[in-house]
Amino acid sequence: MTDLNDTIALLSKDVHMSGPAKHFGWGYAILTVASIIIVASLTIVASMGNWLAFRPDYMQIISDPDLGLTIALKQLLPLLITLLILLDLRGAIYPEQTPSGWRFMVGLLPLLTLPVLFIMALSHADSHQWADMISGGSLLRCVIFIPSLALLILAAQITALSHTAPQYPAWLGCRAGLIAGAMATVIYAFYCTEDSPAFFGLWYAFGITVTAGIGAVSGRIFLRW
Amino acid sequence: MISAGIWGQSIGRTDHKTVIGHLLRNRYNSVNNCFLFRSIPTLNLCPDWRGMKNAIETELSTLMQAALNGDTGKYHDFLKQVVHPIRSQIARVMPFGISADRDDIVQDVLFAIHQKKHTWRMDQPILPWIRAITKYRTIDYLRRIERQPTTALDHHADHLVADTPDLIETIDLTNMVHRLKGKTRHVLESIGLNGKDISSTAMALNISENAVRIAFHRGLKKLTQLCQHKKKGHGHD
Repeated sequence: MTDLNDTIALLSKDVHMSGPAKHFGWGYAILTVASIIIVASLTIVASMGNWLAFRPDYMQIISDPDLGLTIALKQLLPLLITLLILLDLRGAIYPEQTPSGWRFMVGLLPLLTLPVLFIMALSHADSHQWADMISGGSLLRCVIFIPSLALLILAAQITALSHTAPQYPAWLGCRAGLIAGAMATVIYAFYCTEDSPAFFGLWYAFGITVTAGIGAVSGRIFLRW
Repeated sequence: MISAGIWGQSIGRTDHKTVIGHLLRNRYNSVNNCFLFRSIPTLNLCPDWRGMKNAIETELSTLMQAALNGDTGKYHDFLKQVVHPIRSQIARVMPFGISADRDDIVQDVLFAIHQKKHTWRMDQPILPWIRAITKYRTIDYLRRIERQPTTALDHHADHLVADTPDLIETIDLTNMVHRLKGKTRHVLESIGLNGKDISSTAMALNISENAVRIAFHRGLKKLTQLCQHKKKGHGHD
């Protein structure tokens, strides 16, 4: 019991250290938005150095009545993932709150829509075209770029979330990974000229899922408390 | 083969592992129906147990609010008072445990409460927050035992043979502080062991008060890690 008293005496002298919880939300928002801006800026720099090419017909094709919706889905679905997971995030950061499973599943619906689009696109095409549709012209670039761009956003989020006390650190990391992957996809879509759902339905979902996996592992390591 | 008496019975290594595995598996069944949170039968017999619970809730909330506003004395009172609910919750979860283990977990929970105190929202009840932190740290402890079942049982077996206070391993904070290095150690020695306040420590070490706070905070984190290492190392000693 003496040791317990020592511990209490030691801890009670450190009462001023932590900021109130309301500051956490701002810290998270600032770090996440800043990381997204940095990643977007990096891609602009990369496009100036000809490593990435901003698609010149973006505005024209997005306003096309026939193709516009399909192209918009490349960014709308990841945006929806971000929005829904953000709404779910609050329930996962406080120790006394149990994260809602169904809210998380709702957040995953837009992600699951991408493979559905992929299957639908394949079902409308001849089987001998499938390989070309799936591999497209920039498969490797897509698979590498989305998780790479997402890493910085994920790192910023994990840093901000390390001040929380989640009941399930891996799941919180997974949520952060989904947000990071989805936002990286939104940015990457400005440079991606692959407009077939057979391509982006598969590889965008793959990129976001990989990032969610990295997030889960990071959460397990860095969000434990 | 190691065997140890728990609840007056002799169990082997496999049995011990089974008990811990069962406890860990049941954690995820349902939070509300989880064994960690099921109501205490003796408490239900008390006609005014809700009133008692509310009184504890109010008292702890008031103390914590004052603590978060910078009242060191109230924070000290809060930490003292919170020990009892933590201890009783741990006792419900760890029927196979012994007092030394429970005290280790209580200290661990106190460190966790201290590190994560900013995650308590003043408009929310404090008892569920404390219970959740206790649950998390206890499960963390059980996981550590499950990963090292043999070493943990060795540790238990020693105590179960003769569960006397002189044999109970304790965490020697002074020694642990001395294992730290540089500014962190000086700050922890000054504040934690010598009882000086932040401003006099800052003057003595010729650093800013903020630097003292940061060093103190880092020192506490390192102490927590040392506590965990010490507990992991029991089996290897």
